Order: sequence, then C-alpha cells, then structure tokens
Amino acid sequence: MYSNPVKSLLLAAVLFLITAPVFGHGARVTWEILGDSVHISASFDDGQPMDSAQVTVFSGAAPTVPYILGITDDYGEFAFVPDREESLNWDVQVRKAGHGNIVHVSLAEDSIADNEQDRFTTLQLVLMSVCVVWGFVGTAFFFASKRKRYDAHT
Amino acid sequence: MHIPDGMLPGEICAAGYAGTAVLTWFCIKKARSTNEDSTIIVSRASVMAAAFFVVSWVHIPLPPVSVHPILAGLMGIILGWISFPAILVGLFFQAAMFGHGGFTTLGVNALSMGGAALLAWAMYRLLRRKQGERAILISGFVAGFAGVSLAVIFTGSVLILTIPAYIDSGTELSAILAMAAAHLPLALAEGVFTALVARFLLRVKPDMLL
Repeated sequence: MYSNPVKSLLLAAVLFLITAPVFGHGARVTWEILGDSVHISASFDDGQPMDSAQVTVFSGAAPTVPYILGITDDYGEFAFVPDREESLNWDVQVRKAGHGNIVHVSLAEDSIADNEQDRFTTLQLVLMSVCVVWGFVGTAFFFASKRKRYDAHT
Repeated sequence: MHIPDGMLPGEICAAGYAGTAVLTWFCIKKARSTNEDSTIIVSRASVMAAAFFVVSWVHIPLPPVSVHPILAGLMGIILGWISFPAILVGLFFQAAMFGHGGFTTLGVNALSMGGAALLAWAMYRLLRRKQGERAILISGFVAGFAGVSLAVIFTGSVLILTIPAYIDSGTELSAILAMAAAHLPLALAEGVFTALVARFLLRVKPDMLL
C-alpha cells in the first residue's frame, strides 16, 4: 500500500464516502398558506432549524423594496399576512450568517402548493456522489495509464 | 463556508467570476511552466478534487453552527498552483449536485477557498525550507490551519462587507462572527491532519509534496 500513495488516497476517499454521514450545509425553506397568513419554515439541510434567522419579504409589485422584516423563532418558523391587493406573488429571503435561501410564494388559487424543494434521499446523494467521484478518479486513472504507456514506449 | 445564491450583490458576483477567471488562467499558466508531466498534474488534481468534493458532506455540529472540512491546505501542498482550478471544479460539482454554494457565487467561493489554498501552500513552502520530519510537521500544520482560517476570513469579510442595508446588521454580524469562531477547532484539526498526511507522503512518496 505504501508503494502507491495515489491508491491510498483513493481508498481513503472511497472509505470516507461510505462512512461519512450524509449531511449538507445548504438551507431549506418551505412555505404553506394557512388561512390569510403564509407560514415559512427554514432549516439547514441536516434538519437543524434555522433559528434567529432574518426574514425579508418582498412584494411582487416592488421586488427590491423589503415589505416585511422579521426573525424566525426557535423552530426556524415565521409567519406573515400578505396584502393580496398589493400582489399575489411574494419572495421570502431567509438569511443567517450568509447562509439561507429565497423562495417564491404564489397566492394564486390555481397555484399548487407544492413548494417542497427537491430533496434527495440518502441513496440518491450517495449515487450522485459516487458518479462524480468516479468521474474524477477515472480521469486520474486515464492520465496515469497514458503516462505508463508513454513510459513503456520510451 | 459556501456562500449560496441570493446572498451577494450582482456586482460582487461578477467581480468574483472575473477574479476567478484571471487566477485560473494564471495558475494553469504557472503549472504548465513547471517541468512536471501534465498527466501527473491532471491525475493528482482529479483525485484531490474528488476528495474536496466529498468532504463537504461531513457535518460537524459546533453550536450555533455546523462546519465541514475544507482541505484547502492539503490541496495546496499536493497540487500547488493547480489547487485553485481543482477547487473551482469541486465547488462547481458541489453546487450542481447538492446545492452547496451557488452558481452566481461560484467565483467568490472559488476565490476564498482557492485563494486560501494558494496562500497556505506559499506558507508551507516558506516553512519547509528546513529539512526533516519536524519541519514537515510544522509546515503541514500551518498549511492546514491557514487553509481553513484564510477561507473563513475571506468568506466572512465578503459577507460582512455586503450585508444588505435592510436587514439588522448587528444580528447578521454576530451570526457571521459566531460562524467564524466555530471554525477554529476545525482549523486546528485540519492542521493536525495535513501535518500527518504531509509526513506520510514525505516517507512514502516525497515527490507528491510540492
């Protein structure tokens, strides 16, 4: 094993890939209309709530001017009552230490309240990562073998 | 550590892309000017980019935030100039596959993490002028520690300088400083890890250390 550090690193990467907990560090923001109000729920993508995050609500009528400012509670939740006469489209930004997300909230009746952002399962994440790592490692092997062939000819 | 989309003004994102383009060109040019075989450079860059891509999965809860390894120092001492393009590729895939970071902020994230890798490598080379395992341990530790610390300083500075006027800057500043402080144990851990890897490579394959 000591004779080939690239193989050792590769093995370490594979073991790491297998054993590492699948957690991310992105932010996940979902919304739900309950009566007249819009409920926002923000969490890191490991499920930890984004508590005390700053929430800024922008109206579709004036998308650069903050309409409502607030802070999420201990559960990463926040609620506001939008003015339907102002706009049926709202953007909500949740931010904490430069991390966060922006979601578009539509109050239109025909809009489907399917606001769940795509969230991959652990298996999907593992498969995607394996594909990417395989691409990187394959590139490494390709160039390594190319060099071996070159060395053999010279 | 990854700044997501929507957190930075457009002009900062554009400046980040411009800086990244220039630095990528410069790094590739410098790497090609060395006598090293390009196939070896690409092989190493591919494996290290894979490692960099995967470590963003590791979640280390350090309340009130969570952190993940960066490996900027290790990338620097193994890849040298090419660490910057390798980190850029890794960041692109992290953004595309997991939403870690963003596409608009890719340039800024590359500058902070790739720039940290280059500076960590420079520190490592300065300290590695002395021979022996002790020197490699010290220089490896400094590289690993500096890789994390500089990336946090760069990212934190960008975030602090671009806090929007409409949010409570005091609250956001406190959150950013808490995030930066939470990375100190990670910086120490990566310092130790990088030092051990550097010593290992010195024993078995010293030409892997640039």
